[in-house]
Amino acid sequence: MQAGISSYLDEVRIHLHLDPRTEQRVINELYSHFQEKVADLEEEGMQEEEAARAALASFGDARFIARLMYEAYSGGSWTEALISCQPHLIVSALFATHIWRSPVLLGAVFATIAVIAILGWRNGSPNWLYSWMSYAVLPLLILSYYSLDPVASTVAYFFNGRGTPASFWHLAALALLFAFTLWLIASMAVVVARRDWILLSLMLLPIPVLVLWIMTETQFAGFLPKALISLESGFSRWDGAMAVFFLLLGIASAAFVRVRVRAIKVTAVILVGIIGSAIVARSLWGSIGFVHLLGISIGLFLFLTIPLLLRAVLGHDQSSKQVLPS
Amino acid sequence: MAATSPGYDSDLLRGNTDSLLLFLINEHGQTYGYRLIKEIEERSDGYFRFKEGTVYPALRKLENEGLILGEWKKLPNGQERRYYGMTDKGRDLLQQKLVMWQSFASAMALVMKPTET
Repeated sequence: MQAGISSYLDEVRIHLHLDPRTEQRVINELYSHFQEKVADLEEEGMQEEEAARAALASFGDARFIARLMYEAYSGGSWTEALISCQPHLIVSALFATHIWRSPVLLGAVFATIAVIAILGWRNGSPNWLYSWMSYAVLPLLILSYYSLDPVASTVAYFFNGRGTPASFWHLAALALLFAFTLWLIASMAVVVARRDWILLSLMLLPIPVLVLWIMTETQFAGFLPKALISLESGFSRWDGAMAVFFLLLGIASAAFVRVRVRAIKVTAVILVGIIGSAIVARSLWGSIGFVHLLGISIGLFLFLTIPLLLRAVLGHDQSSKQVLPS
Repeated sequence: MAATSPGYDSDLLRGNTDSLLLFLINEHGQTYGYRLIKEIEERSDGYFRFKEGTVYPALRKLENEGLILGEWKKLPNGQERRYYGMTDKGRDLLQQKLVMWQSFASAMALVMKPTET
């Protein structure tokens, strides 16, 4: 196959943003088209290189074709949309009913989410998977966050003699936990960003709000597990806002799966992020002015575009290139 | 499908792409993208010219709507090719479109016939 056609197909593949199996099917079909077109043009008397150039010229701009292909292939079914919004709706329900304080129920919910995310990951990473993934790693993130206490305490002991140092084995176990959490999140982020940065943005969207909420809860009630058991009902005043945020996120996730136009997907993720965060921030801090809202919007916008930078650094997943038919 | 250098309003072709593709797929029983492109060009004496890459998303949309069914087939030379065949839903829609098109074309011809003065 002509180098020009190979690089054209690479260019299409880079802008497809579909799952690897679908990308491969699309590329195979286009490849098969070029093979026949070039053969026909050669029969008409053209040299191979000239035929390849003519075939490319009549096919259309790679980015334009990739965009049309994305729109044709990316729209998921209603079933996929429904599966995609489930984790957000479950978390929304946990807040709406205030039953997130039941450690057993919380553990069961997150374990189920993790199992479903792993199954989805192992079965070709369908479109609905990405909304499940951030919740699957959330218990590890929370555990790591609270594990910072013994580390900080040990550091303080060595610097100013205050606090209680953790034992060597305790610190070693924490180091392992941090390393594993970081490795898991980084690996997931790299794989997802290589496919499509906006998927990673969607995946990360619950994290800043949950972190903000956990930090505020901790400020009021101390260690979260203790808070889970002993919080006064008065502290449930944030639950309504959190429930609304996750409900919005559920709607955005379902729309993300169904909608075919990429610009609408990007807008939906950014808008829901900003509106949802503002609702939660208003609930946590009492009221927010224009400056706060602007700050939240800029901060969240930057946070959601980190995947775009990551994708630019990493480039497209090259592992699927080798399966181009010969 | 995006027309390249049409001597006609490209919206006209865009609005009738589905009918053209469905008609040809129905006629062949099973056929593939490149053959469809060639045939549209040949049958229209080169009148319909469009960016060839736009046919594949159009085929996928028809597939999404359940009007055609795509299937990979291995050729004797080892090459793989995606063939498209009609579904019952596609055949029904094609019948409706044909009737509609014939009535529309007849009405247009009647109206646009030069009047004798």
